[in-house]
Amino acid sequence: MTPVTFNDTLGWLHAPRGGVGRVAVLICPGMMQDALLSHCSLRVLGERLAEAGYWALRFDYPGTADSLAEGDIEPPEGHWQSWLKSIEGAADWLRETTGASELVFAGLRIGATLATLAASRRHDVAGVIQFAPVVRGNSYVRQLLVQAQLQTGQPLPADADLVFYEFRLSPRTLDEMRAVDLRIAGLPGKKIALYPRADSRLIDECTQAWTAAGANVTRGTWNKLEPMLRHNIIEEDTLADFSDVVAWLSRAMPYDATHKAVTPAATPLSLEPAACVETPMRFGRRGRLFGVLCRPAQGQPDTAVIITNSGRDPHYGSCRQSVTFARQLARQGIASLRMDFAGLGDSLGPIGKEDLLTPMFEADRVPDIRGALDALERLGYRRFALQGLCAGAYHSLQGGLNDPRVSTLLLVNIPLFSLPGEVMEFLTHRTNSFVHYFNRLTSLDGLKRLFTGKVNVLRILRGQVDQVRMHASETVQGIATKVGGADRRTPARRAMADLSARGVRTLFLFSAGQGEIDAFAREFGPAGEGLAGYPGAVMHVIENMDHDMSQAPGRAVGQALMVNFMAPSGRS
Amino acid sequence: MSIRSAVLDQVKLVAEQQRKTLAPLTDDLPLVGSGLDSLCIALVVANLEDELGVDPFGVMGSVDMPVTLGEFIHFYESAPAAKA
Repeated sequence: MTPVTFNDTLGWLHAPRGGVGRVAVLICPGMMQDALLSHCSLRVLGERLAEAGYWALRFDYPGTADSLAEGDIEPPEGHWQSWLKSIEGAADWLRETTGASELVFAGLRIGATLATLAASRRHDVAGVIQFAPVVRGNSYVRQLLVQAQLQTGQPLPADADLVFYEFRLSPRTLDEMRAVDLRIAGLPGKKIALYPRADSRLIDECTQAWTAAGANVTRGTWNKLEPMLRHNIIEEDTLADFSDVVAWLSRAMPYDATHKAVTPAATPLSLEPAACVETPMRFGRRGRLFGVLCRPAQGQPDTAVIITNSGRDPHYGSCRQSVTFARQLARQGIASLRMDFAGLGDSLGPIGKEDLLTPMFEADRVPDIRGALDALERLGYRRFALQGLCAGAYHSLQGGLNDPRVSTLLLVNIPLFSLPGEVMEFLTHRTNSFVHYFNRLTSLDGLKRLFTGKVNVLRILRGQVDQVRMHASETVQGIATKVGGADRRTPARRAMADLSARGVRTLFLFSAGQGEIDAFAREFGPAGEGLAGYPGAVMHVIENMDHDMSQAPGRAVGQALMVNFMAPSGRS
Repeated sequence: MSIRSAVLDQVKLVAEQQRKTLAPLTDDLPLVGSGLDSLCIALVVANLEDELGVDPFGVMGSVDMPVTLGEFIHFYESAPAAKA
C-alpha cells in the first residue's frame, strides 16, 4: 500500500500484484466514531482486495482525518455535497491512475450511504458493497443530535449549527442528510453486496426496492465483519475478516489476468494547509510505521513534536485533534509527526500479526518512538517533544524516560505511571470498591451472570489485588523514604526525578473530575503541589475538558496550553 | 410487537453490538447507569425511529431526555407516529 495525495486529501492506494487489475474498489469510510473504530479493518480490506487482484483506494473526505479542509468550516456547497463530490473526484482519480475500466464503491455506515448515492450517479460503477449502511438520513441525524445532547448536557437550539466531533454542520447540511432515503436510490443493473449489522424492516425494504428496480442484491452476514465497529479498546484484538466480501467480488467481477498492467505515475506527496506543509512518511524497520510530518511552510525548525496515538485512535485522532494540534504547532514554527504505533492506524503490526490490533497499554511502544526520533533526526530535527493522551501519555512518558533525545513531554490525562499486571481490570474497576462488586455480584442478575460466565470474577479480583498492591507499595515506600531508606521512590517519582535531572520539561494536563487524575494525585497531589521538587514539571486541570478531548471548548484550551508550553515564550 | 418490547429489544441489541454489560432492565433504571453510553443511547433512538416509524423528539432533538428506562419507554408509547 502506498500513501497518495490528490484533490486536497490523503489516501492509500493498494495495488494488485503486477499492477494488473481491471476493477478498482473505492473504499468510503464512515465518519466520526465509525471511522476511528474501523480504520485498521478498512486497511485490511484494501490489502485483501489487492491480493485478490483489485485496485483499492482509501481516502479521507474533506474536513475529515488528514484532508486539507477544516471540518468546522462549511464549504460553499455544504458538507454533504462536498463529501459526495469528493467521492466522485476520488473515483475519477482512481480510474485515471490505475486504468481500471470498472469501479466498485464500498462504504461503511454513512460512508455506505454516500457511496450508494454517488454510485447511482455513475455508469462506470458496476457494484456497491455496503457495510451497515445508514438507510434513512433522518435517523442518522437523530443519532448525532441525541449523542451531542447527551455529551454536552445542553439542549440543542433549533436552526443552529450542530458542533459535534470535528464538524460544524449547518441546518442546510442537516436537512440534506435528513432527506436521504436509500430505499429510493436508483441502482438498476448494479451488483450490490449488502452486509447489514442486524436484520431490520428497512433493510428488507431496500432489498425489495433495489431488486424490483433491476439491481442484483446479495445479502451477507455481519459476523466476520463485527470487529469493524467493535469498541474493545484495551486488549489485543482481531480485525474484520473480509473473506466473504472478497469471495463475492471475485464471483461478481472476476479478476482478469489479461488486463494491461499499470504502474501509477509518481505524484507530489504533500498537502498544504494554511502556513503548513504536510507529508505522509513511512519509517521504522522496513518502513512498517507511518505518520504525517507537518512543518511550517516557511523556515526549517529544529524542534519536532511526536504526536502519539490516543488509545487506539488512528494518527489523526478523535475529532482530528492531532491534525488541528499539528497545524497549530506549525503556525508557531514547530514541526510535528503524528504517528501510528505498530498495529494501529496505518502502521503494520509485528510480522504475522498484521490483522491484529495491538494492545493499548501492554505493547512496548519505545521502539516505535525511537524509530520516529531516528527518522526525524535524519531530516535535521534536533530537539524533540512527545505528546500523548491517556495511553498515548503513558507511552510518551516511557519514551521520554528511555531516550535522551526527548526534551519535552506533553501528557494529557495520563492514567498510570507503571503497569499493573491486569491493566484492563485496573482501569475499568479502579474506582470501584470490593463492596461495590460484592453488592453487584450478590444481586440476582449478578449471580446469574457470574454462573453463566459473563462475569470474569478472577480477572476482576486480580485487578483489585493489583490496586491494593499498588497502594500498599506506595505506603511502604513512603514510610521508607521518610525514615531515610535507600531508593524506595515510586516509579512515578523516580520517573520525574530522572526527567528533571536531564532537564526534560513536562506538562501534565488533566480533565476536571475524571478518574484519570487519581494516579497522579496520589503521587503529586490533586493540584500538583508535589511537582515542586521537580524543576520543569507543571500541571493544569482544565474544567471543561473531557477525557478524550472530544468537545471543542476544552480541547481548544488544552491545545493552547500545549502550544504555549512548546513555544519559546512558554519556556520557564 | 408492543412498543415496550421493541424498545427493550433495541436496548439489548445495541448493548450486545457495542459490547456493553447491561444492568437488569427495570423501569426505574436510570438510562445513564444502565451500562449504555451516549453513543449507545443515540443508536437505540436512531434504530427505534427506523423500526417503529416513531419520532418522539422535536425537529432538533432538543426535548429533555428521559431519565429512567420506564420514562424512555413511555416517551415512545405516547409519541405520535412519524413518516417512515
